Amino acid sequence: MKNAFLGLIILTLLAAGVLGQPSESDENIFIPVEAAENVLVTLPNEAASVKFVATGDTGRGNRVQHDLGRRMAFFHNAFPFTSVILTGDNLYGPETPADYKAKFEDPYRTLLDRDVKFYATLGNHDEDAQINYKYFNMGGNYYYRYTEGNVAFYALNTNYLDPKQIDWLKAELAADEMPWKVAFFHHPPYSSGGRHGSDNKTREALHPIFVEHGVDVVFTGHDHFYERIVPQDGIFYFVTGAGGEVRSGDIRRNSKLTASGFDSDLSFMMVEVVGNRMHFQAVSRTGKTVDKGIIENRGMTKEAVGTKNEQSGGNCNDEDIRAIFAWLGWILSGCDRGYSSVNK
Amino acid sequence: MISVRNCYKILLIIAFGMSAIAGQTVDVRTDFETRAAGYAEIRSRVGATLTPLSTEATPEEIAAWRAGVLAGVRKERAEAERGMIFTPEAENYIKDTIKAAYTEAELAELRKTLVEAETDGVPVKVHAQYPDSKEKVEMPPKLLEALPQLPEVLQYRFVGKHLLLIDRENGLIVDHMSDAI
Repeated sequence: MKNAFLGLIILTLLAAGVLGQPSESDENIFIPVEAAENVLVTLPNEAASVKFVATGDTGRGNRVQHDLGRRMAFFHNAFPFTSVILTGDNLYGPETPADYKAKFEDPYRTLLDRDVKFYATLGNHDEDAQINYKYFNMGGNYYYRYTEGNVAFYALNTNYLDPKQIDWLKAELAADEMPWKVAFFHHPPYSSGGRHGSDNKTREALHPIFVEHGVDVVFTGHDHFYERIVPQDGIFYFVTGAGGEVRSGDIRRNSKLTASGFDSDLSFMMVEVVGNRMHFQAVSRTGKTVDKGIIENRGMTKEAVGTKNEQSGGNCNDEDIRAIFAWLGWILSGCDRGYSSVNK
Repeated sequence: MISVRNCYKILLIIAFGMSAIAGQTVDVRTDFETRAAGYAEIRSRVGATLTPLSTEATPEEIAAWRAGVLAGVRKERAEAERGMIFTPEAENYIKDTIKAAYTEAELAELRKTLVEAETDGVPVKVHAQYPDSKEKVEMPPKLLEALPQLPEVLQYRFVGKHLLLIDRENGLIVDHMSDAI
């Protein structure tokens, strides 16, 4: 009775915003989907638009990757994206059939069952044999192009940018008349990561081609966080490599490249292309919107419209619910455990 | 005092010498590419004996294909040893090519990357398989442009200062050279 009373007091305090929300940096918190009622889609979510998700460095098979997979599936209920682009490091460590299952199929089972198509690229931890894996839709190619609606996607292999691939890319882009050209691959030409950072070799090889041929947006991974880069020669670069692990605090705080960043939890991006506008929303493992905005394509001139960081709404969201459960657990256990241990 | 006639002679000798060196360089490169193509032929032959791998394969089918190719190639190349593709001449040519493609600063950066890579424990020997749990170091595009071209089934890969020739789909180490950079 006494515990219940204490719980009610804490609930009241939480609702009044007196107690702080738990930090996003609690990396190993299990979030049951049932409790994650907050699905705040900021995108237009139009019926005929191109909708996809971008994430990378996913292949851990750990609990947090499963959390993120559930979160993606949960958002899929409200925002029915048809594909997921993977920016590489799809399978860390061994790559036995059991690993394909544990590190890819299990975390994304719900999405696979809903016929969401995954399009992969190879990272430095991936075996080339993945190119033939049915769920990666690479068609036996190390690099490839496909289209959805008015968007052409270029999946590149930055492990091995040989002259053949470069020539292919130039020729394809030169002939490409799609209004939107999106490239995705593993090594980021621009990144504020302390662990890796900008990959100058990849930048030197690809950025001039992108500029010359009007590539609009580039998604990469390798660094385990989310970062939106200040546009480079009109091209929007994103690092979205926190799909299976986060490297907390890795974004260099004094970097001039960062337009927006999030490096305290896993994340993925939802993207929607409606005509000449590309809307994006980056979402954390806990369902929080950590960045959002619109890229407007005006031929070769693009600009961000209203991009900003925004926390999800002021209503009682899943952060609050998680806090309530955590605090109640702590109280009911006789207050004999630390708060953080309750959450692990 | 060198006469005009002698001067012509010297120029002719230099011209002949240069063309001989250039010819030799072309030969080494061509020889290397021919040897690499020879591996691709073996690989193709072995592949033809197996159930073709679909581009929509299951993990089990991929594993079976990799194992089948690996076993077949090892059997076909049972006598293979280091230097059959990276001949001594090819090694020198590749070392010179790398030096020519890079500035000292770029080479230093590349060496740093290679030292930091998670490649400890990779067995650098012919017929060994590159462990799938180890990082594959990104090959610099500028270097790939300068080096001799390889058939699709093969790729270059650095492990420390070693340069390896790897079968792309099964990680088989086909040949290797040391002190490449």
